Amino acid sequence: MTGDVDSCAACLRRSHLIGRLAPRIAGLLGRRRPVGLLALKEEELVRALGGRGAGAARRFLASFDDAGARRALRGAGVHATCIHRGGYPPTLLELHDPPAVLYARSDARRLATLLRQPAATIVGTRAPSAHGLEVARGLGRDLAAAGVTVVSGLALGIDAAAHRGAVDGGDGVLAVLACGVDVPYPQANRGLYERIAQRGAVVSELPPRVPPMRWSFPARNRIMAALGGITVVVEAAEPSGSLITAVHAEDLNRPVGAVPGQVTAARAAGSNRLLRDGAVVIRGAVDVLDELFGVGRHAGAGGAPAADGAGSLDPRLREVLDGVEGGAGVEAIAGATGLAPADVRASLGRLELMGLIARAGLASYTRTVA
Amino acid sequence: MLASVATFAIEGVESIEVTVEVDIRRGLPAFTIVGLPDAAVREARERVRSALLNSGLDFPQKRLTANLAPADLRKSGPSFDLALAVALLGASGQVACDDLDSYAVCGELSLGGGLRPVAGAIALALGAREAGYRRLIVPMENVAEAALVDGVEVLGVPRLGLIAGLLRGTWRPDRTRPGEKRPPAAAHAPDMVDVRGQADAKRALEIAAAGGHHLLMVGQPGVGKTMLARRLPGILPPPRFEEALEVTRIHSVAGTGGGGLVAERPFRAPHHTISASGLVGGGPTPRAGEITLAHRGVLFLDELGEFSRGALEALRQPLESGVVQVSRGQRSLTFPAAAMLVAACNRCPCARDPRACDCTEIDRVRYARRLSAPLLDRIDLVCEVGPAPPPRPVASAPAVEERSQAIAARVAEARERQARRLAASGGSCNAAMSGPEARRHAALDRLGSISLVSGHERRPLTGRGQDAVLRVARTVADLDGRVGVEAGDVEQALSFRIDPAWTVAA
Repeated sequence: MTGDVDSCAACLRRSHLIGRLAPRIAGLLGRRRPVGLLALKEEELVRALGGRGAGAARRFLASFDDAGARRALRGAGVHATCIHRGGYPPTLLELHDPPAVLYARSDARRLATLLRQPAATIVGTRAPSAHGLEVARGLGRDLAAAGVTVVSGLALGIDAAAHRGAVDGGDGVLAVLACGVDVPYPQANRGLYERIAQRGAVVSELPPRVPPMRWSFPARNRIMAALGGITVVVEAAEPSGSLITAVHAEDLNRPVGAVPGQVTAARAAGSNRLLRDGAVVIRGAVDVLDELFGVGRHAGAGGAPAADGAGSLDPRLREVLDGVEGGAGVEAIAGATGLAPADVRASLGRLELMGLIARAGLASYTRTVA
Repeated sequence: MLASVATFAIEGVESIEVTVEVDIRRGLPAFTIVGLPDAAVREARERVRSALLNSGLDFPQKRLTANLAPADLRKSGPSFDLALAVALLGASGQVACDDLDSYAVCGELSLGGGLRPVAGAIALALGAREAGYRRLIVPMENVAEAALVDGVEVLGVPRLGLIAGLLRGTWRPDRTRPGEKRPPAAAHAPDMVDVRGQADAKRALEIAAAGGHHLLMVGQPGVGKTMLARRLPGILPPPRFEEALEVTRIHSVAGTGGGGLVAERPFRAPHHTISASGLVGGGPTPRAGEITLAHRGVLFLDELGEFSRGALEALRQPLESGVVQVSRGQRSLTFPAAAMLVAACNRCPCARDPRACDCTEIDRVRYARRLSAPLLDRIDLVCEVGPAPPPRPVASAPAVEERSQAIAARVAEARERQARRLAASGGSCNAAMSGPEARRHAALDRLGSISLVSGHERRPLTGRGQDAVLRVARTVADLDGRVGVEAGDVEQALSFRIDPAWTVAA
């Protein structure tokens, strides 16, 4: 498949400049949000670099091979759209420092659809609880099934779970990378990366082959916030990169949602704080769809959130299920309910066969999202 | 003149026959030993010479040549001393040669003519019996062990000087009684009653014991996994005589025996720094590994994630087949290795309380890979061990924990039922059942099969996974005394299996 390059020369050059300067930008920015720097005009950007960097940048600009760059992109099957073209997603224009060029690995028509239909951004911690993983996966699946593009960052943990759910539920999956679209980062998720490139789209503001930098992650987060009609933080500690995405969403006047987590768990402290500060409570895909379309106005992901797919359960099974939800092991459940371990285990097996719980880790169970 | 005497040498945990020939010629006095002797065997020349002279026997000042056949087998250790001395006596006419035919002779000599014990007396006696020797001469200290073997008459000799009389028939040793069974040391055998709470883990041990299933315990350090594992041999049925003999032989050869019949099941807990050959055996002179020393007993691997990959991989073959095959040049030795495996590990690499844990998926996946998927594949049971319950206030009624004896009784009955059921096919316990056997013997009632077959679509059971679940379900039913396997048994078995995601390479 050849890439479709629809970009003016100036934007292409600027984008490649950023890519080339990426390491130096790191020096300038540290970990702060790269606000402003990416919004600078080309000449100001070069001056900001100062010294030898400026010299190298000027030389680069002078010798930039536009035709060569386009050929390389087409050959690599990477699409590129600049700000000035029709294919550029209008949602990104709301940023005050939108990416000059958006690169993508995807089927061209698929990409257009994904960027056109309503989208929701799902982010969270890289070390989630079993509950967080379940919820993220469920959200991804149900939103994709409802025709919503699920946007996330391919990171370990919540991002990956949301992507996997979306791939299960349909094709509405879009990953925004903090590096070139041909570099699967993190390596551990390369299998997922390939599936997303085939079924959905992988996008980035950086040209191919540019590796991820410290600053490119917060920069990427602004793109995720802009692409989504709502940003949902499933589980986040304090501090967390996903909270930065939420801040960008607020700056853009987009709704921010969060999933309630255990108040005693440090890994949910950030997402819980968002709720305290007014974020929308997200219990499932329905809550997201209500925010995007208005309450009850969507042909939705069926029914009320999972909570009682376990509607009419035998009381013993219900007791054991509650125990699992509370994170207890067999011994603890036996102690709390007075059941013999053998009966607790039989109940666990039954609940697993009913699909209400699933294995998490070597020996423990977690409640599933129906 | 030429004389030859039969003796036995230890190879692996068995013995192999060695023929000691001595030839005496006229010529300059010399004493040569051939047949690939090691240093200790070569030094036998000094010991034999002094021992004979100090016993009032004659050491011919002639050209002496001794051969230890077969000539291509390396000979090591001092156990050939006595055979050399006796062959010499025969070759020099001090005893009649034809008297030597029906005897096998083993022992180390001291310079003064006394006899010193050798390792592996049971193995030597078994070898002698197999080879058809009716009588075995050994030092006094080896008599108790060697006499456990019937079919061969064990004669204990305290001094070389009496050998001549023995062989000529003028002296008889005292009647030997077979070694007493070592008393099971009941006083300090670990008992389940010592463990507070942990009902689920105790049950997992009971099921493991009843069906011979391997078990993995998951929990933070210090919760009592080792304490529980040590109590497993106590709930296993006592070994049958043949099994006890096997264990005694292995430990006799290894030098860890006590000189009598070993009547308890062994418990081995090697440290995780052990090498592959330390764990399964091998080395330049092939020695038994920990899994062989645990034969008919329990091999406990604590901190499973800390063992080297090589060591864990080496366990696959013996866990599957019950033996270890070691190649030694052109020969191959077989070590018995039918041990129950109990392994312990943490929930995740940080080994902290789950609520304080901040391991990422990648940390957990790396930890899972260290546990060796093929090894986990062979473990049918996993259970979590949590922190011990707090001590009860003195005033309240004491919690009634079950004694090992009671648990052992249930285990023994379950084993009986299995033995009867499997007698036809030659198996001995549920854990060793093949897939087809498991499906036949755990034939589920209609409800049960529906349960399993529709094992939830998110993580459907593989064929292998289903068979493992059936084996455990069969044991659960056996413990309950039921002939048929019910849905509830299958559900329990499902909860015991290791999450397949950990057994399949990610």
